[in-house]
Amino acid sequence: MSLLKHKNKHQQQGRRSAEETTAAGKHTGKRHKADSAGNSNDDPTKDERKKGAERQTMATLTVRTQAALHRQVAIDALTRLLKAPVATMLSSLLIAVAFALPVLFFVLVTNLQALGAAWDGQPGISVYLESGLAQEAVDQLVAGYRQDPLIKEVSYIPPEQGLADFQQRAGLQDIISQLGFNPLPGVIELVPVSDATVAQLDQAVASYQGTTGVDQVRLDRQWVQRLQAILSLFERFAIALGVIFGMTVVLVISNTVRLSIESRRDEIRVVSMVGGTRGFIAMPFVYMGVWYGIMGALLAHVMVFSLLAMLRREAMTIAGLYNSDTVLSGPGVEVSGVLLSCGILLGAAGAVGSCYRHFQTLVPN
Amino acid sequence: MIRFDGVSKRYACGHMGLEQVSFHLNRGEIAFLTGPSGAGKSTLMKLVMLLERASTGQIWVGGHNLRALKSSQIPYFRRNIGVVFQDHQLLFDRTVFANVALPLLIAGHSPGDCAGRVRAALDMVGLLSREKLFPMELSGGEQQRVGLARAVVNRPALILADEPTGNLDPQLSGEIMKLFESFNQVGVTVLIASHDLALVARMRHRVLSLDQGRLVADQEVR
Repeated sequence: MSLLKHKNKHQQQGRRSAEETTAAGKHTGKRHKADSAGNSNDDPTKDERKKGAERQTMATLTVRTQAALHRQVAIDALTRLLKAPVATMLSSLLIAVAFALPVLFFVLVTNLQALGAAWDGQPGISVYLESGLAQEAVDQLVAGYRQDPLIKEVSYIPPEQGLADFQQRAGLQDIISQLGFNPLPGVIELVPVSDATVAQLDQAVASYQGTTGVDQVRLDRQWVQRLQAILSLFERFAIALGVIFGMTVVLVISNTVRLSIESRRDEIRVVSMVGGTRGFIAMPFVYMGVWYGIMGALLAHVMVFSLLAMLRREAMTIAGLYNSDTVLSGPGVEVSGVLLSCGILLGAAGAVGSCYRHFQTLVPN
Repeated sequence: MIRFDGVSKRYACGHMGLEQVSFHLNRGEIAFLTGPSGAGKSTLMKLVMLLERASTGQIWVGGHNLRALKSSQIPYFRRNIGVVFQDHQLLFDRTVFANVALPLLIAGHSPGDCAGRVRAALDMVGLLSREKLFPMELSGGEQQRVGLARAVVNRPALILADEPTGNLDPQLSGEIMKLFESFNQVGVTVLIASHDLALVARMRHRVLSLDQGRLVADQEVR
């Protein structure tokens, strides 16, 4: 007789006996009812159904057994970590720092973005006129802009005044006088109403652009765009930083798990000799990695929030300068969720990697 | 149950662990494996439970040709072999109960289902009252009996014991051997490696003698 088959029989017997104890009451009850109603058990559909139910019970039992095993292994792994609190704390802190840096960077970027979005200074529109445009044409344009409901204020800066303004700026007088003529065009400065949206303004700019006598129209929000461009660059940088530090977390956890594997060589050998699969042997180590990841993520939260609390007053001052009442906001629920999932995943990945490498030599065959 | 056919084991360093060993151990048989240190007793045991692979020759265990067994099947194969070691190989950070329950948990039994079988195994070796203790709190003989309980808890078809009485006094050794005999009486195949020739002679079972990797004698029951 085959040994493997032998094993299966044993296991099935074990499972069946457990199943009988849990489901015995139900079965016998049903059978009694069926008998008293004069129905014998030879109804094939009923038999099929019963078999299906049995199979299902067995499946749920296996799932339950597995769940119980996982729960126990997870708790064991945590207790083992808590038994060496200093070592656990140091490793977790290392992981937490690696997590906290990209998160802090990300928080900084999102806050600056919020600051840019909440900036309530009005973008002005500058209409640069063609040079040598007649005063009547200018007046006509000004009158036209005054009638636009989108525009609150209109002011005309003739080329002479523009030149005078320009010459006031240090170091530029010589250049202008050497030029011998006034290179500046007339400009009409427009201030839009405060509730004008960016889309409306864009549309207005496009329509002004087409009118005769207008050389160029500029919407003064380039600094916002520039800020946003820089911020999106920073955001990408934060993500790249996150990837690099994520790798660091994997390496830290993998190394910590390696030490644990080394110290539990005997146990691994025993478990392997009484028939533990590599998956079974790896389970406590994978849970260990996951716990490290979770603890690192939680500690990273503590670090980020305490740092933000320290910076809050300074941030308020800056926000005040920008006429914004935005307060430094911490990472949102999404960031926390991502951080925690990253902790779990990276922890498991580091542990699995470590197990894979070291079981080659430790686990016989 | 165990069948060796011209089996040799050469280690990577060139040392010959076993050389052309052939024998057949029937199902339900009990036998001793003797010989001086370094004769190849441990190597033979390792080959049976696939801790090592043979260099040449064929080994069958429980109908399996071990050469044909894939690495991924080895854990399932080992679950049907109970192993007892000279140094017990108990896990010292777990209770006696947890040590004995280990093979059941590995085989996928739920912790609730285990309790009865663990207690039955502990009862068999006379340690039912010690289940909550840690191995360190037990004497050498008791530790060895825990190892024995762990080996039989999964009701294996085959028990391998490598110097199970190596560290015990004659009286304790006798008791352990009696336990092996009692397992054998319920149909379990038992192979015991021992260099204690006096004890082996007293037991009156089949004896396989190894010397420098060769099988030099195969004495049937006298």
